[in-house]
Amino acid sequence: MTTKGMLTSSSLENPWARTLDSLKRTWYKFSRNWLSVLGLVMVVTIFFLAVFAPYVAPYPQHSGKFVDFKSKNQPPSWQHLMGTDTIGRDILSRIIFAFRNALLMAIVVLAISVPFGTLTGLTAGYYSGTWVETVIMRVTDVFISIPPIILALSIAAMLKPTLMNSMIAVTVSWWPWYTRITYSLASSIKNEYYVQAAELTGASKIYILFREILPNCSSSLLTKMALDVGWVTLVGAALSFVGLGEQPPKPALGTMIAEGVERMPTQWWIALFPALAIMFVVLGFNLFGDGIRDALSPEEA
Amino acid sequence: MKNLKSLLYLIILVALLAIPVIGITAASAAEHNPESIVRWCEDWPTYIDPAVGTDFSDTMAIVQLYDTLIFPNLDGSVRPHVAEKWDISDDFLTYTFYLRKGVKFHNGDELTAEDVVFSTERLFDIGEGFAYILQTKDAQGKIIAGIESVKAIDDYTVEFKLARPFGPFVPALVRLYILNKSQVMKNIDKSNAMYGEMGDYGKKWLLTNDAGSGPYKVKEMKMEESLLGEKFDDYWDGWEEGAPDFFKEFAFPGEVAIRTMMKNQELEITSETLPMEAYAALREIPGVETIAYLSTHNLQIMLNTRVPPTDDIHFRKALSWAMDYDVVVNDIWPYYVQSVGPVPQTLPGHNKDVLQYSYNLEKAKEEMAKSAYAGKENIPFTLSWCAEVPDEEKVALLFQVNAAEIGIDVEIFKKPFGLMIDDAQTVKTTPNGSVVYVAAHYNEAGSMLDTRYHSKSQGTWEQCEWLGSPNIDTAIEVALATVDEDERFKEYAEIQNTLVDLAPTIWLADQALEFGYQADYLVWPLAERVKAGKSSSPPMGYSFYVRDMKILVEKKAELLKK
Amino acid sequence: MRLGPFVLRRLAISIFVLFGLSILIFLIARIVPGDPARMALGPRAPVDVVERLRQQMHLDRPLLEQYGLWLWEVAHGNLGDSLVTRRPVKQDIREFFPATLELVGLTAIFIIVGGISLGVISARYANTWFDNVVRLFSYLGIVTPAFAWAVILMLLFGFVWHIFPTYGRLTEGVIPPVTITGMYTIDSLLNGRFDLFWDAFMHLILPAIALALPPMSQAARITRSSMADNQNKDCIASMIAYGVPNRVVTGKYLLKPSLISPITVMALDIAATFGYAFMVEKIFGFPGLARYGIQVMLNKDVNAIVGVVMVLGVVFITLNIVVDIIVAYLDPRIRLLGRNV
Repeated sequence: MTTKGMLTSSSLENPWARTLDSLKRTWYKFSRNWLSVLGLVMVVTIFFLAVFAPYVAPYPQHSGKFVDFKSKNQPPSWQHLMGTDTIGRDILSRIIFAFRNALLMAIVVLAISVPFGTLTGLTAGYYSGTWVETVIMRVTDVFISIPPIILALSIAAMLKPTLMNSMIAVTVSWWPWYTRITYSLASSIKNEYYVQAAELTGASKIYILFREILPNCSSSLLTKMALDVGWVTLVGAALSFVGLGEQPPKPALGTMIAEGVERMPTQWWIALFPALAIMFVVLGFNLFGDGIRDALSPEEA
Repeated sequence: MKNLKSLLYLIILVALLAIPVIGITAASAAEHNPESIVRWCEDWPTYIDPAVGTDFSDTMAIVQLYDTLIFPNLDGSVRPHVAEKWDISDDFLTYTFYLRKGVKFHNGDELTAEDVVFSTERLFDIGEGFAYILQTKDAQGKIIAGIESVKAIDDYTVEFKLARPFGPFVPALVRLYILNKSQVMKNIDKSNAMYGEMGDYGKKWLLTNDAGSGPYKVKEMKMEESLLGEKFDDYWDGWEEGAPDFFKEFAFPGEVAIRTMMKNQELEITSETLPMEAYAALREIPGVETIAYLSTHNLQIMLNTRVPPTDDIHFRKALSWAMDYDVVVNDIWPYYVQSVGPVPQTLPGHNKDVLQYSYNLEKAKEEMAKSAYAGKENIPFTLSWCAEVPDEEKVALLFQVNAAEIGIDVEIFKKPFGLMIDDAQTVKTTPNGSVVYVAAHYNEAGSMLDTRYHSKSQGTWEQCEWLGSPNIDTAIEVALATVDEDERFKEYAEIQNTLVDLAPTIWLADQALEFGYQADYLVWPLAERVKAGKSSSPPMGYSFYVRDMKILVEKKAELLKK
Repeated sequence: MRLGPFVLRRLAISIFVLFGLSILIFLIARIVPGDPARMALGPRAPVDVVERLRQQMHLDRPLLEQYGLWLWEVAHGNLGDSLVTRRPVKQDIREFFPATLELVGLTAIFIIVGGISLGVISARYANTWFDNVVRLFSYLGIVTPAFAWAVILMLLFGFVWHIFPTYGRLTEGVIPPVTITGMYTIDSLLNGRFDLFWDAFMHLILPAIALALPPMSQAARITRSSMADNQNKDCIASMIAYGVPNRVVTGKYLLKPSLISPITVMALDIAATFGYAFMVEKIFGFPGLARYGIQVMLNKDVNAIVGVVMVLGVVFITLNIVVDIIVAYLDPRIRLLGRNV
């Protein structure tokens, strides 16, 4: 497969130029839609805020051990752009720090469930029609027979409420969806001529799975991953909404909303801004994910 | 299929039109608002079975539905109730109660001594609820204190034998509620052999029904939602003019809903857990007033004395000096007062001369230096608070900040109450600190000391300290067995001193309850007393005794017209 | 129509999946640290009573045997007692499920009607201002989680403009209709109480909209793109060329095949609504199964957790079967050849 690209003229001399070339082409397709670019900007912003939280947050100490009951429940002002909560902490600072855990959670969940789901999906797809497929896919069916949020909740509720455990809970309910999507892709790709050709030339099963089938699933998987960062954040927020997840005083978007709902409508800002923050994350990753889909889709090249 | 598109258009059109129409007609919802009703929204009562329920919302309901031998006055004393009088033997071990004749249960049966015996035995056999107040067993199941046996001498005489003298026995009897034996027996689920031949002891039936003789009877019990009680016309003590026909207790509907309901006269008494701003808003509603009074509950951080680092007495004292009590009583709950020792100040037998810890970092550091953890940084410490009481989080966060000042790294856990109970069962699972409210179960310091620091309550949420001190156990037992009140109170005072010196607990604040209520048309004896400046701390639940309240129906109608 | 064997096969798989789900959730519920019997009876109950309850709940048996006994009980229609409410789980579910069903039902109506009609119009007038507004709106709808909508809607329509009630199923003091189905809107109609119907209906609107907006937007988007895909097909072009009226083309030949993917997605979303409902129910103080589910989960109420999850599993699976049947009806290829496209 790798030899194909060698035929273009510019790449013959310099592999870097080739990479640059394809990147340029991808970026061209990506940037044709300004919404995708907006999504990228949002995603970069979120990452930037999360990574540099201690430097960008106006009151970084408010994300940790801190109480100031004298300045509780203040409405948005120049001093506190999004107001303060019932403990007197700056809501904007807490949202910025909450992005950290939200992103961490999304990354960890995907880092585990994507490889696992892909591997099982590939195997089941390649061995479709055998008992391997039956076992893998029926187990998957069981896991997706209830909405992931309910499964994640039941698991998280049984464990100690920590960020780690809520990650475990979400991961357990997340991988089957990757199994399913890879399975359906793999089971159709395996009938393509190039796969059959590779089989005939005696390529090993590992080679076929990982060098022939997997690369052709990658664009769908990448797109789903980009979108899923937003959705995992959402499920994470749902868990912390009921108190499962990061424990106070560390900020979590769901916890902040749950607290704010109690204070509605007098102190509307306590719930509203964290809710908007979740919207921002999901919107950003959705636009970005759509952009990736456009950029990687082959037919519109 | 041809018409599909037009159908779609139609649907959209209707949907679009419906929105404003809905808006206009929204106000015309049906209403059912009986005139003479008292409603409050502490919570729905989980267990109205007097052998099971113990919490605030449970007792609020149970006191309306059941009668007791004696009755607590608002000033803390007791008066005869179903028992007209009683005799006490010279050795203080036998109490004989003479019952009133003609007390009727809600189904018309007469209340007799047999019912009292049955209710007592049922309470102890089930062993939940308030059983522990009236009886103490050791690990082998032998009765070591409280009621040893009970028997009916005749239809109207009942005799209690105690295992040892129990000073506050008569006040403690406010927690012995009398059930109708024959009615309970008729509703026993035999298929469930939890209690041998007693089947389920009627527990399932009593979840949503009552078998009492109290002034009100269950009209409708909706799980997870509400209890509606209806006046029992044949109540043996008769009725005064204006007493409410109904009472309703329901789940907390949210701050805003409470305000709206108060405005619309759909609620008579608010819950006591609202934020400060909400009370201010309530006072602006015509006819609504707010009252605040100290209760017999206090808020504390229980320290597990068996696991490091809280097993070190100097460490515990350091914590006691490091806590900023002023923030708790000024900024978090303005009506609370800082606790003076382990007993709420409203309880008879409270020792007001014990040492009161204060926020003093110098002293905290001094104690820290004496402890085994001197010079250490980031000492790990686990703290749980109860998810059902959101404001406890503020205490937890404050404690975390305060503790950090003396080098302690506090990790906070929000736990549903059910799980706190579970954690409290073993030393290992009990956290270093637990933020908990505790209430006295009958009106004496002894109640608090006994349930909080006697070894028998180890393993329950009411003692997360695991104090296990034989000396204190003996002292409490001796004090409770002392029949002379002055003598008994002196012994209580001594125990309080010992405890403060051990610092097993950070006694934060005595709770004040603040309620908004419809002062214009609801006569509420408790509120009258508070407004008159008299102290008032009836046992849990009795502040809401509906029979003594009055609804001024005309005033209510008048107010509604405005 | 060879729908019969198709449905039978789906049913067989579903039963298998339900079994698997029951094992999964049973295991999850049993790894709880702590003693459910002690939790049920409270800290002060006598040891022997707790021991008896433990035996009654079969907690003293090996896990496999516990599962077998549980299955036996379920086969007899018994889900055990809840530790929180101390009632049979079945009874709790019977009480709370109708409320959630009513809410999800209205949500489903919003999703289907709103989603399809917006999508169809959007596709019909593709690239006009209307299309753009709908697309923007649906993007916002998709990315805003239901509970964020709940907060926003509550602020706007409950507090800024007092249009809708924001708490519970009925106005306080209103006596609910005589229970027939447990769904207030339907019961009140059956009782002929239109005032009650209106009251209950008003209480449903905000939570239902909050729940419906994200999936509805999703459905609109998918309907639009699916219509757009099919619009470009040769058969449609030739039909238009033959002079078949536009209305007929859209209504008959375009809509039917275009509905397959939106219907699949909508069904999954409607089922997932049961999951997200808990936050919305909590925000609106709506006493439904989702709220109950969260409460029992947080209190580690083993029997109730298993019960609630199983009920939701059954609902989810049933919905999937229904969708498969609808899709099979819409797509003759599946129906006739048993092929999956």
